[in-house]
Amino acid sequence: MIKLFHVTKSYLGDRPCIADLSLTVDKSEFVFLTGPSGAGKTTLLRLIFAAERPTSGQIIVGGRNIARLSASAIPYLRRNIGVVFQDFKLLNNRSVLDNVAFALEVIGERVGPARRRAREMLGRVGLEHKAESPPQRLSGGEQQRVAIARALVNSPAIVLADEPTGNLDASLTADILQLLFDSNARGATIVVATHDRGLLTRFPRRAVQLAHGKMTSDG
Amino acid sequence: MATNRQLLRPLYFLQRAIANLVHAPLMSLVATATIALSLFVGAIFALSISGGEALLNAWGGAAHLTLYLSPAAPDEAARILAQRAAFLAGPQATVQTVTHDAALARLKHDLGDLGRALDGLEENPLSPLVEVRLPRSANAAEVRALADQFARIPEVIDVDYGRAWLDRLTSLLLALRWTAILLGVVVLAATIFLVSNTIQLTVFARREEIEIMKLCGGTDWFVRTPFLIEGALQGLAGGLIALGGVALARHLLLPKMADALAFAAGMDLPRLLPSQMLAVAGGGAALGLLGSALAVGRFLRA
Ligand SMILES: Nc1ncnc2c1ncn2[C@@H]1O[C@H](COP(=O)(O)OP(=O)(O)OP(=O)(O)O)[C@@H](O)[C@H]1O
Ligand SMILES: [Mg+2]
Repeated sequence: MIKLFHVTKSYLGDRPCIADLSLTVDKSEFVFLTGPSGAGKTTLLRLIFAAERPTSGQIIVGGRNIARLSASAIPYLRRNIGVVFQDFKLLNNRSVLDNVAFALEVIGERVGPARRRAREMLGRVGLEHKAESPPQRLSGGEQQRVAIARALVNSPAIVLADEPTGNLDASLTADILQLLFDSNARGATIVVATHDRGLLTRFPRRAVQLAHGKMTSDG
Repeated sequence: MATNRQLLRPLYFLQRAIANLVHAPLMSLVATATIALSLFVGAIFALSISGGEALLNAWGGAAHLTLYLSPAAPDEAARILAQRAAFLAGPQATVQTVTHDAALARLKHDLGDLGRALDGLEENPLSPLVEVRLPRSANAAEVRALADQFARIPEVIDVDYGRAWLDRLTSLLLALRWTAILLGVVVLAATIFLVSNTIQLTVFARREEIEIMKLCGGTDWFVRTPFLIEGALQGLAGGLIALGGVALARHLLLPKMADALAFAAGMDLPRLLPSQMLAVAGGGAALGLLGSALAVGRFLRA
């Protein structure tokens, strides 16, 4: 489902934040991406949903070579990818419900059905009672769950989650990961970036470890 | 399902555009005011030119053409020519035949006491002629075209219509028109520049929303469309305001000006035709659309 061949990403003048990385994530696989802060986890996810172009190397996502994708094809790639951003990226001038429904409207769903599905999704993350609030009135953990609801509402084939449990206590962390496991059980390919190695012992899964943009262990 | 979605799309974008306008009224007002002002200035300028044209035409009075026949031509030839001229000049023109004798009588009358000297003439040296008086509504170009037609009639040896004066007037108006077109282009470019920069600010204010749209798989057209509609609506509003301004100016200002120019009495005040009003409103919408397309295009390319 996701394949990286010798991918390097460097910003001008800096040493590469992803260096000659090769990685395969199969369809319906669940992978933790770990590593210390600055290891390049976010950068790797951004490469996968084509928010960044690799400096060199090839990236294949869902059979499509990202480096060769035209700008107009990128939106259609992204419709198959749900992303939970480290900084949530929620809109404060819209309600929680509208934030989630927005992800569906943007890809052509009508407002009514979009809101229906968004409400359903908010129920699954336990936030239907906050549907009409603006995100900024929610706690960090609640905002995190809204971000997850938005990423999953479209039932994407691939879910990329950047520190999705960073702000949650142990029991909510388990709940959120369960959402991702459920989605995985239904066939989605999931990559979860986290610097919390404790997660790995509580929820043993394949873990790819990065340091300075290089893979240091995989298994 | 798919067609249903597409049918509902315009409505969806229109709703979004209106909601956006309501959310950021200040920026919308700036863009609208810019377009309104430039269209108002343009329309007033155009009206002034057409008013000036009408004024100059009225000044010139009714156009007057004189067709000369050869001195040897019989009076009968002049009468036949008069009929032909009346046909060519149309029913609103008045045509008069001046025979050899009448021409001589006129000359004598004009000369007064000196006219007695003409009594000794054995033979009338004057040509018979045909006078054509055109209605006031005839403009310089029409007069000239008619004069050319008359000149092609074989019996006519000369056509007198104050050619130099009419030609000068025509070229003056032509120069004015070109100046207006040139100025119009400059004002238009400045307006598009200002409007696109204003809309750029609204685009920038919504950059987070745009970013999220794109990250969720929204196409550039999805991002662009509400802005385009907003631009067109702002421009349309600007056009309508400009039309209101022109109507107001006509009511408040022009009667006073017409009074001041007493010689123009009876002249119609210049007014915008329905097609021109449509052009102002549509032009506003087009300006807004273009400004907004430039602004969003610049943002999406960055
Ligand atoms: N736009 C950018 N310009 C320059 N350097 C960047 C840019 N984005 C990321 N980097 C650098 O790339 C490196 C990896 O960043 P990245 O955000 O991928 O780390 P991370 O593993 O996600 O860290 P964290 O756990 O803190 O989120 C960092 O050193 C960062 O400074
Ligand atoms: Mg990160």
